[in-house]
Amino acid sequence: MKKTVSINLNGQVFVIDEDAFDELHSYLNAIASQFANSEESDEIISDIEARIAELFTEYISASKQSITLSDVIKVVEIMGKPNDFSDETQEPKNQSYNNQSYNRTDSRFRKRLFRDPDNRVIGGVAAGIAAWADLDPVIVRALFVVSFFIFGPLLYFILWIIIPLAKTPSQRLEMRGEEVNLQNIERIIKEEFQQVKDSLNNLKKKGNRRHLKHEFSESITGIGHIFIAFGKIIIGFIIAAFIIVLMLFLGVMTHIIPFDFVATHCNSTAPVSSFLHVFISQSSSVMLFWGILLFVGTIILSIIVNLIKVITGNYRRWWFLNSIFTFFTLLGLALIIISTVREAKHFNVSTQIESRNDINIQRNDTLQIEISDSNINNKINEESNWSYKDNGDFSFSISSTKCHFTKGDFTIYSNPELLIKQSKSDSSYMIITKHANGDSHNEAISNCNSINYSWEINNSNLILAPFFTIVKSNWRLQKLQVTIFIPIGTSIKLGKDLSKLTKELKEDQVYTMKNGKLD
Amino acid sequence: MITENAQSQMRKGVLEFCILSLLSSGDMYASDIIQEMKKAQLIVVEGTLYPLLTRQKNAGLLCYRWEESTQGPPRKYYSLTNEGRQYLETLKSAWQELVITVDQITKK
Repeated sequence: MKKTVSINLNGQVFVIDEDAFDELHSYLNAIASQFANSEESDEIISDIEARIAELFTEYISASKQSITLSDVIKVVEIMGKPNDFSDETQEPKNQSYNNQSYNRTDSRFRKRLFRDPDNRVIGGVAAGIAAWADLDPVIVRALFVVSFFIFGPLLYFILWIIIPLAKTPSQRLEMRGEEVNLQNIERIIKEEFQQVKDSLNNLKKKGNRRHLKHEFSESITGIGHIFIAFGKIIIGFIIAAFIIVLMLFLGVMTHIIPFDFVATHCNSTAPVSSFLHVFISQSSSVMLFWGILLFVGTIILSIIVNLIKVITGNYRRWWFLNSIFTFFTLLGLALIIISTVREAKHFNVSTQIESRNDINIQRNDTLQIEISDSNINNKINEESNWSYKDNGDFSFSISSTKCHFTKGDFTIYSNPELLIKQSKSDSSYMIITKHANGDSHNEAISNCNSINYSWEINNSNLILAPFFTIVKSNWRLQKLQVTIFIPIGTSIKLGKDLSKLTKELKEDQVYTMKNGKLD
Repeated sequence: MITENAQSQMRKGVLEFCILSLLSSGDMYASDIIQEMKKAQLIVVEGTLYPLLTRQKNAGLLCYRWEESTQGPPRKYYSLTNEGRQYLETLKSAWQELVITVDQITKK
């Protein structure tokens, strides 16, 4: 598909392809500048335009309604290059002008990044970059090959899509950083004709000396084909790999693919999705995932695209992209906000459940508080902030709260808080308070009930678990307080490792309740 | 390259003469003149002709009129002025003289 422009040549309207228009425009400008200082300029040019219009009419038919680049090139061939228009008297002057602008060291003109169709191996990306950076294309190609295992092929593919091809001679000049003037355009066209001519001659020679030439050129195209096929395979492979990783990630997020499968086949993806599940309900996690993916992905993509746009100086070609980017960024943002608000609602209502347990000790006795010493507790204590095992189990901790994952389920461990207060009666008792949040009172209560805590009283020994656990439930600010009420005169003693549950008391020291205070 | 250049220089020199000669046999429009010139291999590209025609017209050797065309917009038909006819005659005799002298020299 090509964009067309409609032009008026000598009173006739022609529909002309955009690239052909650029070509014709610069050609006519070139001619005009040939006659710039003669009075007949306007007349000569209108005569020439009339002739071009005539030629164009011949090229147009019912089946071919627009003027193409090749038509314009044909016309230029018929009409002659700008230099042919000059008459003898002006020739010396033009000659010197020519010499000036043929000087290639003049690099005042801004280069633009294009793909170079003349020197390409695959897509002309490397040759284009080389022309832009004044390097040998071989060096750029070598860099792409060296970076093969990192990001080379993907980068090449993205650049291939985004960098425009230098189609018209003026674009080719911009690519090389040469001034877009008549002589240079003329030279480029000349070069192109020469190339076409050469290849035609080669074809003829090939025909004449079939045995000599045929095999040689055949092998060259063979290598080219292999290159292209190889590149396609690599690019296809990379895209496929990306899609597979994305599908696995989404599969785990949405629980279509069981966690076990991923945990055993690709360990590294497991923690990410499980991590989110601690805080977020399933439906929200899918939404949040898409939101983050869209938001971050689109921003990164738009930065890359706009960067390349600035480098290439091509603002027209991708004009629609920014509106698409804006749309998807906003969509991503909306999804993030919706899922966050949805999740935030689960912290709306805060509630607590209390349970009272009597402790049968005499007034002057000492209550010995110990920590239970089950295996899991030891194991959890030993683990560092973030640990990961080969069987897919892993755990992480945030301050005193610890999450442990095994076989797709997770358990949240957290330290309870131990408080000692004076009893208002003569008896001793313990109140266990479970705190949790939820979007409603009922949900908050069920979240409270998701807290498991074990303890034991044997005469004057109270054995507390160092952790309460939350199984198969999201983390909703669950807290557990163990408050022990003892009357005046009763003492307590904390056993080993208990000091981390309370701020005030030290281990292995006897405290006695005296008038509302421990001493 | 050098021969090509010399040839084109020579052609350029006689172009004016040829245009006037062509027009002496009847009015023509630019494309017709180009066709004839191309047939005689006097010009390679058409662009050469337009500045010449304009210059001759401005010099008063030629004049033109617009004539409606069946296909497309009106065309410019060139014809010789009296001045042009006189100029053509002088050119003709000059050319014949030139041909004779050149022949004499080259056949020696």
